[in-house]
Amino acid sequence: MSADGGLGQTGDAALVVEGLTVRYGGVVALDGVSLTVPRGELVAVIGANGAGKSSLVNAVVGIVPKSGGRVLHEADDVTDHTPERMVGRGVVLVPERRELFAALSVADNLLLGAYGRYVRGERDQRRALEHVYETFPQLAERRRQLAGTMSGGEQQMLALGRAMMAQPRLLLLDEPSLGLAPLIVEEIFRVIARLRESGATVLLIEQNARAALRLADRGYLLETGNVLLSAPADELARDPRVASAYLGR
Amino acid sequence: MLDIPLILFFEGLTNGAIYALMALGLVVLYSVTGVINVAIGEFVMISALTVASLRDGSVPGTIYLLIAGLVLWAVYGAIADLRARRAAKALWSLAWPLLAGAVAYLLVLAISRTAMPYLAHIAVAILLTTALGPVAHRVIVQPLPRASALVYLILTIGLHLALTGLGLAFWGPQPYTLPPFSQGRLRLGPVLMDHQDIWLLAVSLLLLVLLWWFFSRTLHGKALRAAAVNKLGARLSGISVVRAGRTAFTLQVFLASVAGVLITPITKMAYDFGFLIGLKGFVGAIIGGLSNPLVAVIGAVFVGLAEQFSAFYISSAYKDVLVFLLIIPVLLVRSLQHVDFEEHVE
Amino acid sequence: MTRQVPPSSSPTVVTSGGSRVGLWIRRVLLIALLAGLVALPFVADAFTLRLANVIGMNALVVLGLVLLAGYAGLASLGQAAFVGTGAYVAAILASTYGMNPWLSVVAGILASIVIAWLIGLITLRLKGHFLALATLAWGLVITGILRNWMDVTGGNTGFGSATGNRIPPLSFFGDAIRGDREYFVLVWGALLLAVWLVLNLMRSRVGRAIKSLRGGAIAAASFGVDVQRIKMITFLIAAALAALAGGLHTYRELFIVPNLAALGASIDYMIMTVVGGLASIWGALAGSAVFVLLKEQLQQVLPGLIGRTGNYEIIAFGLILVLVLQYARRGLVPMIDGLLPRRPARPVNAGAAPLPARPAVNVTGPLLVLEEVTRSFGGLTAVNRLSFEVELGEVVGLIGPNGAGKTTAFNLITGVLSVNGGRISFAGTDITRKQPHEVARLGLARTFQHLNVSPSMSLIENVSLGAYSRTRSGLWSGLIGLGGAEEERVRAEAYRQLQRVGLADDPFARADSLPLGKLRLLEVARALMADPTLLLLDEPAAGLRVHEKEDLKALVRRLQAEGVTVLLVEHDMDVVMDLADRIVVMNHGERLARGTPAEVRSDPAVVEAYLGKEEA
Repeated sequence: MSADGGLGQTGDAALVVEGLTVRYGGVVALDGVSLTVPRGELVAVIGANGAGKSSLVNAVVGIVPKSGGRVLHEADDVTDHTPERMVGRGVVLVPERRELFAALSVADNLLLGAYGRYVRGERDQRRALEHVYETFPQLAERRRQLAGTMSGGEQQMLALGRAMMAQPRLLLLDEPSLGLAPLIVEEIFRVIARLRESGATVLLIEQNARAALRLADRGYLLETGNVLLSAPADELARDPRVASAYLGR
Repeated sequence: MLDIPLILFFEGLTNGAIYALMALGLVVLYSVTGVINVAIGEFVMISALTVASLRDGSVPGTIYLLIAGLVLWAVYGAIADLRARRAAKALWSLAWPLLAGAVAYLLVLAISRTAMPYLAHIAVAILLTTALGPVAHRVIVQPLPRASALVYLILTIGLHLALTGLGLAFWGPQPYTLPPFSQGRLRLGPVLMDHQDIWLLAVSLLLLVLLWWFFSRTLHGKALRAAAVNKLGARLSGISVVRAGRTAFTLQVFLASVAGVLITPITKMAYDFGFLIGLKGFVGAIIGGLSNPLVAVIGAVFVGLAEQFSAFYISSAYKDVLVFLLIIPVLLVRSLQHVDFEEHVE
Repeated sequence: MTRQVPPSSSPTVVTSGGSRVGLWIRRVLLIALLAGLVALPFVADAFTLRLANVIGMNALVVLGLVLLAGYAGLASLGQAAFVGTGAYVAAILASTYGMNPWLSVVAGILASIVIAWLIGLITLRLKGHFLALATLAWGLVITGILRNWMDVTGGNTGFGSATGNRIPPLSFFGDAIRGDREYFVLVWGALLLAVWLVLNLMRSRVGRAIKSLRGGAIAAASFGVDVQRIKMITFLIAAALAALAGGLHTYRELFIVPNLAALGASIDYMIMTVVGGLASIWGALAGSAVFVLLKEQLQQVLPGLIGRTGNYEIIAFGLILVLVLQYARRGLVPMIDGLLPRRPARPVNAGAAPLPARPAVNVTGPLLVLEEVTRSFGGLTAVNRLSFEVELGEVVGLIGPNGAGKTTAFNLITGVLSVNGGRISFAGTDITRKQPHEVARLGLARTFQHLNVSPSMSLIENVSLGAYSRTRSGLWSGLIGLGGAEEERVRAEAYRQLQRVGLADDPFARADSLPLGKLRLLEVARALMADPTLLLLDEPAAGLRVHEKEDLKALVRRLQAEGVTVLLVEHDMDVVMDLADRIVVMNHGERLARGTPAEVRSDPAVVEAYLGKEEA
């Protein structure tokens, strides 16, 4: 089942997932999925709705319980970690529904992204904030606006910015293009491309296969809880089985 | 005559300030955890009667309550660690609450045997009562994560009963009084106010301002608000929702214990007096829809005013009845606003 | 009562494999209880009988709370207020106004029902805990009135002979009923009658509707249940039972005090309910017995331990309440019941007459029409001017990428969400502003994306919930057990629907014993109970394995052949492409394309919506 990589690679891998299984009641959402995210690379996981993509990242950070398998972050076993501890380790998820603090201002949402570091005594939030504002000038203009009143695209940028405030060593993005208009999707992907160039390690979950594979170093195609294909991104983009996984055979 | 309404106004304001502390505590805890704590008034009672015990030179029963809670905390913590197969951590989880309990006991014992100024007794009582907050959260609420508001409501009714009964066991049925923080009266226009009334208003106001500062200016306060608006978002930002709930519970108990030492010099306190104070705070909180702190505070002050004015102009016997009838129009308005099934959609 | 046909005599009767021993143990326990109750007035001393009467009257109140809190999920913290209302109205009418004592009890019950109705009107639409807080406030109000309206209620000193208001005793053909021995017959007679009525009710159509509330308001409404009305009925029954207990209390004591209505008493009833078992009718008896007897013991022991008199038992009850909620949430009777061997379920008479079929719809034009339907949340438009129609007999697929607005569209059609603009009509009727239960009653049945079955109920019980809109029997016939014939037809119909979806092997198995694929079929069977014209399936293939999907596809094809129209919201393309006659594709809340599966699949706009833009 091991899709690629072996234990030999774990040393320089940011994230190793081995045989991860997730069940909700009787539903098997993930059935022994294995994947590796090498340090400094962008790995895309694509697949149709219901393939188990969200379950994968949610289980990795500990939002949903794992029924089997192991998760290693920088060679440490983090299978039993809570989401809070994962954030402490620098594993930060931008969830599918963004989960912003709607009643709080943009600036407060961003500052809270750094809460875990603040508690540990790191007091560089202002600097981190300026960095996020440089990346997303729109957020700087709206720093006093309530997060809940922003448009979908701005909310997605805020969610990305909030995650960046935690200074992630591994960024997990769950469907950042979800529900957004095409122009905004392009903008979001440009931001991800910039993150990628700055050397960030990213696991990108995306239904929009073509856009995701354009950015990624490597791609995994998920179907009904299993890894159907894994290959370098450009190879996967050309594979006809991707289209049939989405639109039926 | 102008001064009767004015006197009623200040009396109403004094009570309303206390209800406002209750209402604020209730709203904060409910928004962060979904817990409606019926036992809030018992913490008002416990802090006041703890001061009375300390002034008597006796050991207040509060410390035994704290120790019992800490023992349970130790047991729960150790069991949780053993289940997660962390034996070394279990030992520590078992040890620290017991150590903390022992240290607290020795301190309280020493304090009860030394002559101390009144304000020091008050500080100790507030500290001791507030310490019950995290303990109650750990032992009563935390074992039932993600229960419905209804289950929490029944759960805290259990806490209310137990604490009322323990209050009776520790302090007996008779009412206690405490001296005012300072003696004397102050003339405010046509109204003559006791120093204690002014203390009460000033301290309450100070607390409201401090809370406003905490929630709007500090990252810890914002983290609590974050945990209230979006639990998942909070966890993904590294905010522990369990810890946020414990902080909210502690904050509520702290507000209640301050209210206890403020109000007792004016109205006296017995084991069963706290409950009604808490319930009137509830009316304020419900006016704020259990979620809006500002409206809750205004509502609570309104409850205090309505109580005094209706007691004077309508009937003193029916003032409680009228206060509790206040929630009817509030619920009616909320019910009329509610047009379809949307509340049930996630 | 339901006719019990011996299983061997008729091939059309389906029986379950539960143990006969389980049935006999329960029968013996019930007979022992009844025998003990019959013997008690002859052998027990006055004190014991007094306790038994207190238990019986408490149990009446708790029985109402079991219905309200356990079955309907609504808690009242003011049941004692209804007890007090019943008691004082009866006492005052009989004493001050000379009303016949029996009639005064009825008047007390009616007064409670009216008050409960008013409270229900303003709180039952809100979240559950607002009812709890409103009843709590009402308890404080009524207690305040009873304590202070001296002229009428006698105030804190109480009302009765001791304070100069003679309450005439209840009499039976001229003989006054006095003393605990005679009252025992009255109280326990009333209680057992109430238990019998409630047991009947819970086996009837209205009882099924009450049970369906536990799965959430949306699910209940999807069976055609008017959720507000059923909640109200439950609340009124609970208030009536409490007022009955109050009236009986008045005439047993001939002297009443305001504490009867106080919050403390309401809390006691809540403790009894939780201890006996929130959702257990017999738990009402057990809970009040345990409470009364324990209180009696504690009141003797605790003051000695503490060295002062006082109601220290509340410490124990507070702790018991916390511990039961933390460690034994189901309560005493369900726990014991779980230890006994299972009893066989009531058999199904598969030969019973079928339920009346829904009249065939007569529409010219499409069955379901959406015209320019729009819905936004805050600033985000989830569904934007969406139009499409479903013809009678078709299978239509509604698809689109994640976040396209499919689920919102589904909720708009079923009435769960209200539209901001546009029009929806079904079978020629405008359903744009209709409530979910009204839409359901028109013949539009649905399944749920996130399964909504009661795990502890059997398959046949789960499926039976769907029969609400096709059955007629009302509250009163349900209470006195007249719904039996209809009930037999419902069970037979449920069995037929289980056969129809292929789940009839073990209709008495608990739902949680089934794998996901079969649970989805179970929901389809439940929806079919309504004999729907249009069946809405909300992502029925989600999480299914390959062979399960094949079963599902075969079922939908069979249903189509039988004349059912199907609207399928689905993201599994294999399933949609295979099943649908026509497909509507949504993206960003709008209709992106429509056509046959082949047309849609080759539409470049659709391909781009799913896979993203080709490299420029």
